[in-house]
Amino acid sequence: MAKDSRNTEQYLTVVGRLLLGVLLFALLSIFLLWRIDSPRVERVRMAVIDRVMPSFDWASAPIDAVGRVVASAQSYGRVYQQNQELRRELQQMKAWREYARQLEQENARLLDLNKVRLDPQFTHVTGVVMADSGTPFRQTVLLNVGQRDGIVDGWATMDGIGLVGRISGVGRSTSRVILLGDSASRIAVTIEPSGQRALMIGDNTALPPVEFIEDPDVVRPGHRVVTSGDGGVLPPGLLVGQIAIDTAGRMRVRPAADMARLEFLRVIRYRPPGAIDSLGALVGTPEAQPQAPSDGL
Amino acid sequence: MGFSFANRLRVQGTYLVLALLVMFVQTLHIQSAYLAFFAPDVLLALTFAWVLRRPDAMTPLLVAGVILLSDFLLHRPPALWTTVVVIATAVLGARAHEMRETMYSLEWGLVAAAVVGCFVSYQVLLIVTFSGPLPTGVMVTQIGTTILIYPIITFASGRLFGISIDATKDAPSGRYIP
Repeated sequence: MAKDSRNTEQYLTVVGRLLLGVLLFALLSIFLLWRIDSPRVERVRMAVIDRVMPSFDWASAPIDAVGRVVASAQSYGRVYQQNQELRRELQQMKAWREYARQLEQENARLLDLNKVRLDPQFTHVTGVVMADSGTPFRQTVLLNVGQRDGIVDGWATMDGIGLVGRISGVGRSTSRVILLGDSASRIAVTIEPSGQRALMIGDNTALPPVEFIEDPDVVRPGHRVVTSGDGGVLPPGLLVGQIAIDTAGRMRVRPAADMARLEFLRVIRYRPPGAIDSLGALVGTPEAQPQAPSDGL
Repeated sequence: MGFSFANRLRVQGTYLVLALLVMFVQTLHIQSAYLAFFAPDVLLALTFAWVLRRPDAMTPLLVAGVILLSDFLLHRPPALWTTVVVIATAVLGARAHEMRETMYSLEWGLVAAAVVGCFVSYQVLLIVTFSGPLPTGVMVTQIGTTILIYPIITFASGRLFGISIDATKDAPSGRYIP
């Protein structure tokens, strides 16, 4: 026992203790350095990690693979749940798809209706374009509907979108349409936002010019041009096209109809409304003067 | 006679490699909150087990170096935990010679006290230096798990690396010389 106690005293020699004290002092100074000037020590830390950690990469790949297998094994338990969720979502998506289809059809119908803004009392006769004019100085087409189909001279002709021309010459089974650009075509139009009346006279070009505008400054390119119905010649409100200005500064109409691809044309049946030529009952006609009261009241 | 220089060097090298392995495993990207919560401080238990069995090899400088490296890698305030562990290791190493003849449960109790002392003094130092104390719940859990794995570590050290009490019983000079 005495020997043990002496050996016990020799465990921590003086030099050993001194070295231990120096080591502890060094460690505490490192800690104080971190406490005082943290960024510098953090940079040292990142440098140490940078040196030591990459050497672990080569071994971490199989460990990561094992981790992924474990994770996927855990997810197998949820496969049934996920399956049910996906089925529910699929049902919802199918319902949405049906709804989308219905909306698409309705949209197409409404767009279709939107193109043809005709008075519901207008009826039309559809004809097929058989021939062109044959000469470059006239712009006319020949339709395969004629007198036997009830076509009357002067009726307006449209394609799906806008006015194309007027019937001028009716045969038994054919009729001729004078197109807007023909030099003999004169259409009374209204320029929409300003409401001004003008006359669209063709000059054998693709874009017939507009004449006799009262106030040309109010008219801008892109303004909508419709028939005005003046003179009871053509039905009012038919879409003709848009205003365009050519390089010379002249107002022209760009037809809304596709003049280059005329195939099926509609001839609009139109009877102008009867002329009003008498005073109304409110104003009282000269023949209907009230008699002077005879009983002297 | 004590152990040879080569033997000591071998033990020190093994300790270093084991420490690196432990740190590597700890820094693995295993996305499990449970493991992170219940992870013991394996390095601490390893250090204590080895200093009680081979105090001649576990010099303070080696222990300080390894724990300092772990401080840097595991994002602790550097050298604070190192100081605490070096002091605890010195205390344990001074008693290593006595611990050889005692029962294992006494050794386990002493190591448990050392672990608790380490963590508590570390927490106190963190609070005193305003360095952000550990969350108490995690700390208590880690103390518990570290003490619990100590027998596993001693068993594994004996079987795998030959670091056991029996091996040093016949070497009276295997003393802790800091």
